[in-house]
Amino acid sequence: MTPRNKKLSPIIILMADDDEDDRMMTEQAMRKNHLANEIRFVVDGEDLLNYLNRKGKYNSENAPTPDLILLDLNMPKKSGLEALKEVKNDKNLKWIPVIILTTSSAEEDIIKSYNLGVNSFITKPVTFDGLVKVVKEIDNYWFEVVKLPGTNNG
Amino acid sequence: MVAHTNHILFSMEKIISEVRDVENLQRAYLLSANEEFLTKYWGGRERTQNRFDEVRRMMENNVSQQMRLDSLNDMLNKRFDLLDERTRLGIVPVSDTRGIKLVIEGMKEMNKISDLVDRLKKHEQDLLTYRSNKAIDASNNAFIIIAVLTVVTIIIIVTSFAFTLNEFQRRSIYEKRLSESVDNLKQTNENLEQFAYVASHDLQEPLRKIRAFGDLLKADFADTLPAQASDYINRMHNAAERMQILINDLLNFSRASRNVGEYETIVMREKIMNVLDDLEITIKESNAIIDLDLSSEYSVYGNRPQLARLFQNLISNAIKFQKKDSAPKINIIGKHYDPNKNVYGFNLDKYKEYVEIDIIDNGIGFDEQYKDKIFTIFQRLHGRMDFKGTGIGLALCKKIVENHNGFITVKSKQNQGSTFTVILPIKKI
Repeated sequence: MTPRNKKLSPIIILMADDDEDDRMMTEQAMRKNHLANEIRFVVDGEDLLNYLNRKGKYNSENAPTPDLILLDLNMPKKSGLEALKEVKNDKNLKWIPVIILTTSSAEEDIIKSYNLGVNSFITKPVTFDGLVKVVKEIDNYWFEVVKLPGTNNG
Repeated sequence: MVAHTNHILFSMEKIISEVRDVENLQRAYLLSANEEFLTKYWGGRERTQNRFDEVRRMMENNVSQQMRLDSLNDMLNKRFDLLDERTRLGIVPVSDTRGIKLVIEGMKEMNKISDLVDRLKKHEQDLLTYRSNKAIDASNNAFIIIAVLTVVTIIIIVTSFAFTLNEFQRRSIYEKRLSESVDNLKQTNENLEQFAYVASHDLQEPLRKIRAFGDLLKADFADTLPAQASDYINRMHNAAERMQILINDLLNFSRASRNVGEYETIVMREKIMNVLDDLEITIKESNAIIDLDLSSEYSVYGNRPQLARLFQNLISNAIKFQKKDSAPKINIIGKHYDPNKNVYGFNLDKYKEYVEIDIIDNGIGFDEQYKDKIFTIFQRLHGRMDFKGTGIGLALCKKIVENHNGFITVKSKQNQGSTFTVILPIKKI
């Protein structure tokens, strides 16, 4: 996968989370912020890698390159950390910023994640309001403050 | 003993030979009429007597021999009498029958003497043999006794060695079992810790959703939601929140019960100041004034998270249970506690030093009749509506204090305030 030209289309966020409620709430939080971003979902680590490698049910049509990955840790089949390792070790994928968004606040998880090359580690807020705020911060930081690949294309 | 016997035998032989000498001397004189022989002859009886006395002395202890010696004495006297008679007769012709008669009588007597001396000698030898045998027996006995004692000693040594070895084996089996038990306990503890963590985590998850969707409901339908519906949602929300706090408290209580965590030397003043830092927001919101009078000299051997939890609970209680429209004023005082004076009646080690930390508040206080009840888990003195709380806080404090080999107690007056006292053993740096 190579970075898309941001100038041509809105931001695509790919979220990997096995929990339906969490997926729904994150989408809601984005709506609350009136963000123009497009959010797509995968349900576990295996699904995520299939998407990124355009395998199985995924192809270049239905799996556009994401600009940011939101990754949960506790998922069945392939866990967040296992998926993270694969992404950051793949020269075609390692450029994609990965933010871990998880309920865990364990020091152990934080260290392991950064050691594997995660870009940010965020603990899911307890309240919905908190989630709305965090989503806004992510949007502001990663898409306003920070420069991502593909911004200057075209 | 042998030498003694030989001496006796020799001396007795000497008696015989003395007598025979005397006989020879007599014969020599009678044949030669040489006065020299005569003189020597007369000395013979005395010499023989001396020999005899010597033998007598050597056989002092033997009654039967003494009796034989008495007979011998008589015989010797008789022999000498006969000899003397013949000697006094002097040189006479062979036809003189008196001389021959004396000689023949003398010879008979001499035979008797000889026989008696043989018997005496035999007896001495028998005695020697008897005594030698006895000595041999005794020495055999001694040998047997020594042999038996040696065997017994060896048996004792071997037996004690066997016992000691057995004891070592038993000890090492016990040690192994103990070590296995400890390992098992560690494993169980780890399992429990994991279970508790996972359970609390997984239990928190749905509660989080309940609260979040409650929030969403209110946010999305704020305009159309009737007040009653809003109220229901709030109650649900609060219930879920209470459950989350309860799960956390239970997890902490479980941890404190199992006394997990590392122990180290901790300066009390530092620890309490950290807790006050953590409670900064609560303190500001309640306008609480907190006065800390605790020297840095006091250190305890403890577990950081547990001690933090202990004082956090006590201080936040002091802030929470406040009179309406009144700002909390809390004094935290530390001082030496003398176990000998034992003001609070605890079972303390009289040889250790203790620090007493009092947390004094001016809050609502309570009736002292409940002072033991409040340290019991889930016991509350107020309804949920009056003061928030799960009823675990003080039970947890008590558990933590016990883990640190200390004591906790409270004094209180309703509407005036309470003083919670924590006593902990001092760790000298």
